[in-house]
Amino acid sequence: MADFTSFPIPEPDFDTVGPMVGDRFPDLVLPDQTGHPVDLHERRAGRKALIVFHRSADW
Amino acid sequence: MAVFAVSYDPVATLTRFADVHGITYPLLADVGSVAITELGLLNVTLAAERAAYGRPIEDRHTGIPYPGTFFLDETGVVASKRFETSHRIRPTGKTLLRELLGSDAVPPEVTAEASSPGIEIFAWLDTAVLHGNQMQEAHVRIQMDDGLHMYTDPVPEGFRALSVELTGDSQLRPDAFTIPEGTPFRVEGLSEEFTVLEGRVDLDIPFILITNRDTAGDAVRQVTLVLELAYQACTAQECFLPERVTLELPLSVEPNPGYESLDRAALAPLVNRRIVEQPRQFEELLGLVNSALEGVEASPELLMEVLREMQGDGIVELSSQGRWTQSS
Repeated sequence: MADFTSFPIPEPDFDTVGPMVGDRFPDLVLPDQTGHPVDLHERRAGRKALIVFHRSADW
Repeated sequence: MAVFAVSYDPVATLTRFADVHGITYPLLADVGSVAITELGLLNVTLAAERAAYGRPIEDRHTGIPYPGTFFLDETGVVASKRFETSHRIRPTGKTLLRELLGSDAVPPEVTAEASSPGIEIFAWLDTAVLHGNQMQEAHVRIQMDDGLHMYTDPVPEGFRALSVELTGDSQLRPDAFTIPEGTPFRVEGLSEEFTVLEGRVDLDIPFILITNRDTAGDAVRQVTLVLELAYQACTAQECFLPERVTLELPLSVEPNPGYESLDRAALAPLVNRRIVEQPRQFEELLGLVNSALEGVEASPELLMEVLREMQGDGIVELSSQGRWTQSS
């Protein structure tokens, strides 16, 4: 049986890293692909939302 | 539901990406990773992780976030979040769909059963195919007859608590999971309070297909995920002998489609289909699956693969006009 405990990668506790469950997601204003600034909560407009953090659209 | 994606790419990169893939939800440009850093999501484990994969760290790796997803409710509060440590690990499309749409939306693909007196155990997977660095969950359902219960830790001396171990092929690495808490239970003659599970118990055990330089290959490979459950069933009066059951779930491991290996003539109509206006309720869902999948160039094909799986399961259908719609 393989030793599953030996994977040598430090693991942050994601429960406490970044916005936590139960917290209001912080305000975020960033430009989008149109070049115009987007206010996340304003654009969300009272709907449920999914915010995906990914490494890059280029690689 | 609103969908947003955040990366450190400049607007120009995101404009091009959105045009190629027909993405209309906001791709937010966090140039310099200011927001990523302020939110506490900057990936600082990357150097160690690259070493584990036997690869050097590169400039582009600086500033990337931990890959993951926040689910917000209508008031903007974080209802749940899903993160992986490795920037290469991705949940399968089915895993993400299950989280969004609920377990009913994703029927089992691989199943196994076991039983002991009064106890029935079902195990299943959402998808029978895994690509390198993908994560999905093994689901286990334990159904106990009325009047039976199982202990969870801590147990009375000499008794066995429910335990679940995930073994099998060495490329399948289990991730952390918890056994449900159980209800308080008193044993006559003992002052301590114990906890037991009864009725139906559902467990979701995440596991990852690890690939690295040494294990990556072109061939399709069959592997088996093995679940070992140990437990002891008791009534109010007596306990039966401890049981150990094994459930085997076969999986197919397939190499990641790289851009070079994709048939570009076949890819073009897939891309065009996505640019054709889609029913609004699926536009965001497609974008969601797209964002969750590894690799930019491979996205349209994998996206269509997920849609075909959903079509096979009767969740969506393709109309004669070439539009994907939810099955009525």
